[in-house]
Amino acid sequence: MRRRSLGGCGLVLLAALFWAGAARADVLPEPGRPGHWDEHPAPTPEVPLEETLARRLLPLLALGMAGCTALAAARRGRVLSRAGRR
Amino acid sequence: MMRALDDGRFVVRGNPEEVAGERRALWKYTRLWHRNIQPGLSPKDGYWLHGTDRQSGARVQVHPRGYAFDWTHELATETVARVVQSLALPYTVPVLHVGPGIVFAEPPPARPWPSLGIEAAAACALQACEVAARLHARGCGPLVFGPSHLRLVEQDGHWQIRWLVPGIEDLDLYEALELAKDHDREHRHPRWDWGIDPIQHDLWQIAWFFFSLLAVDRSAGETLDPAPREAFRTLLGMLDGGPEAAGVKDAASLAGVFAVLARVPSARVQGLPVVRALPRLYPDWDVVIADGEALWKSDSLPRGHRDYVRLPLAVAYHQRASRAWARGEHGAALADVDRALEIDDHAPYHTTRAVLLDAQNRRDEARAAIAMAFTMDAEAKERGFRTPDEQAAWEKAKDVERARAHLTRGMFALRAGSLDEAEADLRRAEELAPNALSTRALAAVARARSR
Repeated sequence: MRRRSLGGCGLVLLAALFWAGAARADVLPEPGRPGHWDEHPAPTPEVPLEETLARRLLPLLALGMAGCTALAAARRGRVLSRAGRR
Repeated sequence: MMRALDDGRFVVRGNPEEVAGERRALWKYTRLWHRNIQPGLSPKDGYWLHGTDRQSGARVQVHPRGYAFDWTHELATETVARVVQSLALPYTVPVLHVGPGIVFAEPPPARPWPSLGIEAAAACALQACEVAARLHARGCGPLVFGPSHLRLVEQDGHWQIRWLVPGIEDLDLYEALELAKDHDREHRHPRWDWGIDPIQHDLWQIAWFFFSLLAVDRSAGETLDPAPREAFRTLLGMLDGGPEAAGVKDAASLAGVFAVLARVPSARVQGLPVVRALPRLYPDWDVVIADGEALWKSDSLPRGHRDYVRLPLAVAYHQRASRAWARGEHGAALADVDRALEIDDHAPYHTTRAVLLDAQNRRDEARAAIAMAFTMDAEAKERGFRTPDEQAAWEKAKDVERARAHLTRGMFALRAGSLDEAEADLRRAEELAPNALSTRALAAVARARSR
């Protein structure tokens, strides 16, 4: 009698274990944000560029180039007008 | 049950939910109960639906969408289908329509592979290499094999493959177990490892495909001429040790090996793309958003599955916003990130919103948005079962996002002249995830102090 009830308990335990295993196999994955979709870098604020020596000299360089262009244009204008007078 | 697809062009017979159930059960059969699989190829009709193309009257095969909780996986499968459709290779089953679900032209019936001579088997494997090389170049992989996917037809006395791509991953292993003499040995084979490199997996599978077709014993290779014999030995080496060990690193190289055995001019394989690392394949964000919005609003989406659509849909909006920001379209980007926040109140989306508002000179709103990012981050309670590797990657991604929030708040403080606050935030950003931007921003604070 005792052996039979032990066997019954064993069967119930086995059924419970089987059910737990089957239920575990049916567990859905946790819903989440797909990390593998991170295709594009996310927006970041504008950060000022490094003030290197070249960057500091850049305005001077631009001024110099503008000056040279203006001088060249003036010289060309004088040459042309002189040629026109001739 | 009859259904219509693509505005009624295709009439589909059968129940997609039954197909989804069959597919879901597959991974249990292959990964948990593989010892119960009976030997011999069983019919696989339950994994697809069949229907008719009303335009041509031709029969079609349909890969229906599965359960809603698998939405992102279905999108990935459909992205591969779009690549196959655009390539229209002669050795793949034509894809007629994509989304939602995939409609193929009726493929030849799935039968056990025939037994062929070395030359004919190599010709079929060469065709598989040609398809694999072109799909790898577009980021598609790992591919699916087995008689249900790699179908063979005889045309004008020559065997050709008709490859059903994309297919069903677990069906591949299921068929291999059905055909294996030793279940346990097949199940343990390294080519079925979860973590195997997709290109290595595909090359290994093509070598197996070749040997599965062979009518002759493997020792027959020794009777070949020197060049084919060497090619045969390379394949034998691949079979046991894997492609990398045999010195084969891409589908184009493997095609070269099969070209020697099939006695095909090498010119045929010279133009194939050499791909040794699979490029990332992303879905079209416009398609994802349209599809997700329709699914999200549909009554058929079960309550328990809503988060499986909601969270990825918000990510898709954020991705599209990030692209629009890079193009300088701040208005469009802001509209997308606002929608992302409506769907999912996630801290990084607030940071993006702050950056975009700031770019539009809406400074007060930007400051409120970045404050919200910190509030949401502090309140976030995210669940999830992760492996140690996944957990580490997740923590790192989180640190990158927190660093972006600190950088954004630090830059706002710098502009407002609050140098101490700015420095504290920027130093925290540097600690969490150092990058060129945070270093440059800290230098800007130092310059502001020296003035």
